Amino acid sequence: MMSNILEKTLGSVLSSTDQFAGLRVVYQKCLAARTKQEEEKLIKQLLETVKIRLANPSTRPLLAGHCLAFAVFVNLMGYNVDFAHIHAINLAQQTSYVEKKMGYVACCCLLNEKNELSLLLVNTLCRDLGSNNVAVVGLAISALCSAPIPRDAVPALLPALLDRLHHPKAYIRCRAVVAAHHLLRQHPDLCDLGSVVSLLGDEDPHVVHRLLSCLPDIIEKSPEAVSGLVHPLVAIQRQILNGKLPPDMTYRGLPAPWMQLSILKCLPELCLTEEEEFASREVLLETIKACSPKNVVISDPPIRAAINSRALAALLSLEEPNEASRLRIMHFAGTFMQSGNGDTKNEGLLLLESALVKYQIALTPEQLAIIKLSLEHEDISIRRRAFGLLSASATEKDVQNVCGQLFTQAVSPKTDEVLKQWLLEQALQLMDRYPVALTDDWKLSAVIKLMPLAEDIKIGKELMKNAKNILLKGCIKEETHVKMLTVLTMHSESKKAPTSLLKLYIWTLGNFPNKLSQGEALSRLLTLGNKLLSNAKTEKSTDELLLLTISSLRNVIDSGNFNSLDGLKDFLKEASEYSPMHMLEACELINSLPHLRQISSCLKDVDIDFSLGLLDKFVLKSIETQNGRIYQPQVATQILQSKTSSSPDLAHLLPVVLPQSPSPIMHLSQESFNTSDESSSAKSVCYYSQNLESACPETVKSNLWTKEGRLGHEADKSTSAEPLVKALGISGMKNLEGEPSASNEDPLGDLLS
Amino acid sequence: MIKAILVFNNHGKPRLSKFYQYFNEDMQQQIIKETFQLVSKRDDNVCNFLEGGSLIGGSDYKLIYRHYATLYFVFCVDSSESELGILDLIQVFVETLDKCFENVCELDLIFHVDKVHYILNELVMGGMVLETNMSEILTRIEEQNKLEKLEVSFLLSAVFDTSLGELNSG
Repeated sequence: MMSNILEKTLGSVLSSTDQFAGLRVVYQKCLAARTKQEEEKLIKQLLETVKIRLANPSTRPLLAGHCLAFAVFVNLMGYNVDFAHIHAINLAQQTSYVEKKMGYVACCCLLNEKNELSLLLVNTLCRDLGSNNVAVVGLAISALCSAPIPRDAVPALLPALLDRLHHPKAYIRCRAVVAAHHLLRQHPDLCDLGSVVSLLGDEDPHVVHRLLSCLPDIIEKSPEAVSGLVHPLVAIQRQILNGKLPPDMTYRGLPAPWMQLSILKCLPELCLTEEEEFASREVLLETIKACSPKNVVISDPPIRAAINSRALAALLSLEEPNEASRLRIMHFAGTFMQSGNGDTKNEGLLLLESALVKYQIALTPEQLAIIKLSLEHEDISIRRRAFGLLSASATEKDVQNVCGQLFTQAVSPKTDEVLKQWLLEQALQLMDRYPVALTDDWKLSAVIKLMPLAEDIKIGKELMKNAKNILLKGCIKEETHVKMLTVLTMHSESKKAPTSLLKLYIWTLGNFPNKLSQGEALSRLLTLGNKLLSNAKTEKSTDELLLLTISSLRNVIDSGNFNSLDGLKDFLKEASEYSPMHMLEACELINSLPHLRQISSCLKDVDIDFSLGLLDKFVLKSIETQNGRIYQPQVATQILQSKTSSSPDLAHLLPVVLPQSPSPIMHLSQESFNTSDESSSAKSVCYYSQNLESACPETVKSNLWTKEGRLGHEADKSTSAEPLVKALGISGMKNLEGEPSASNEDPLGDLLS
Repeated sequence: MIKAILVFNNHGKPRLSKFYQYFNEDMQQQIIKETFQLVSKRDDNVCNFLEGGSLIGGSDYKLIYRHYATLYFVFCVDSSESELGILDLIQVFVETLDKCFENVCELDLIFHVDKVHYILNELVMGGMVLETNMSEILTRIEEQNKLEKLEVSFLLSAVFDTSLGELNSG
């Protein structure tokens, strides 16, 4: 007869086993859910149960471990299990190995860097790193690499970890090296692993192997710690090739292949002297000889080809180009390329590409045939390698042909976005490599063809920039320009034009209006602009195009290539009403329109550079240093107002658009578009009138600019500048006189506050 | 360096995921989905390498994968790793799983997700290859299993002794 206690205890132990069997049923139920909704509902219910079970203090740690395993499983499926984090940490803090192990696994799977609870793990890790139990130390080191460790905790953990580098057990030393390397990669400024390099002489080759894996990063971060390591590495490689390592390090007939790969990677980077290079070359040749198969068979482990390939690549970087090395590398590249194994073929193509870059050699007909076949290979990775090879072997004579092939592949619907981007980059690099071999006309044509393909990828901007640069160079033939415009016009008239081509079209019309007949550029821009406006109501993406159109219109008007401005005001008004973003641009243009002609006609007899180009550098300086605002042509109104009142010849001036409200954004009023008398227009300037009244025509005239600088000879510049500042409201004008403006002073504050 | 190790079935359901670089949970799910889309459309007779998806790092990283029956094993690595070397490493991982679970299948990865992590931790740690010798890995796993069994039997016997003690005293 058993006591109640025993019955209950055994019962609970048995029931935990049953619950594990019950958990298996739970897993099966989750997998058997027919729909996502069913799965979600079931898992949420189960997670509630798990949550309650974990929160119950009487739950046995073993059962808690099973619950956490379930939490890890559902977390993998994308469900939130934040409630389990603290229980994972609690479990990791247990003294039992089984519980600690599950706790650490759960912490590594569930916690992340942003989680504040990860700090709680640090003390546990420190304690476990110093444990006498080898298994627990191993657990702690593994968790250190996988669990999110706060940066502040690294200095606390590092000494304990580095101490484990001298642990009597090789198993721990191996792990400690990898963990130290992990911390070095995460926090290079906090870790100095120069002392780790001494483990290269460790008695256990597994520890040496681990250290070799970390060596490339140590070479990069602490190069002084690894000087003089070439001869030890060469000696280790020779020991490997001579079979001196334990038999358990042999894999598929190859002695310590991963260790060899690590050594072969590091050797070229460490060689500093000729003697070291010579020693390295010798051992590389021995490696190639030892690992070369007599025939490449499909069943050969891939790692054999990997060792050969890496040894050849290392030799390539150490040797001067000579016939023997060229023949050697071509032989191996050819052998790999003929392999029926796709992976080895891929490696062969990679090797050949490296050789071509170094040697600039001509390919044999057999190799060319293989490459040609590989271009049409069903495997996209092989095709990519073949294109890389083609690109590397391109010469001035066939660069156009190669680019054409790259374009054809990029255009193919089978090509994914990543490969498309790469192909276009290769083509652009080739075009840069042989700028003379390709005419600007050809390049422009190629770029225009490619632009629609590259709209969604970052190289699209590069292509646009290329096109603009070619056009601005001005070296293309006239007929090419005409053809380009024809093509772009066709696209602009189509129902669904690529945005990049539309942008180029609008830009070209704005920058080269003289390539078309007088007024044609303006007319086309207006047509396109109106079309964009009608589309803008349904498509948001036209905002940028509209802004570009307005900017191009400005350029066309600046160039004077127009007959009449009919339709322009309506378009600009509509554009400005469409969105506040366009309002400013459109208003700027509207306000400048009458002034440009009026100023031109008023001042045609005066030798004045009314474009105010002289001011540009001051304005720019002001914008950069004083947070000034750009010059706005609406203030030209005020000059004309003052000139109109003094000069009867200008009384017939067209009404100008005037700001009606004190807000920074101008509002266009209906009256301003009607022909009204200047008095009503003048009244609308009352907002600024207090400053204008002080600006008499003589003062203004005496302070006007010429090509040589300001007029205003006898007038005191400090006093004459002041009314000019107030009248023109040009930002930063005070700085011209050497008066520093306060950093928080708005130069236009008196006009726009 | 290995950036991530993913195992998913032919329908894209993840069975193991280990990221050695921080990604938030949503991003992890998207990476798994994107990797599945890239890998699943490849034939069995093509090579086992392809460029990384845009979410995981783009062309700076490679996906090296192997397809075994219903499962894809995918290692996402940077350029410092040898592609062919990683391919063999996947083979070592799968063979180790096979030895530990005796003809491993997808359900083993589901029911024993913690054990799969223990095995993986013996192979790769912090994104670096830790051990490539299958015998060595199996020895470690066996030692850990013995330790666990010892602890469980100790626990059971402690409970039994305590209960017997109470029984005798009662």
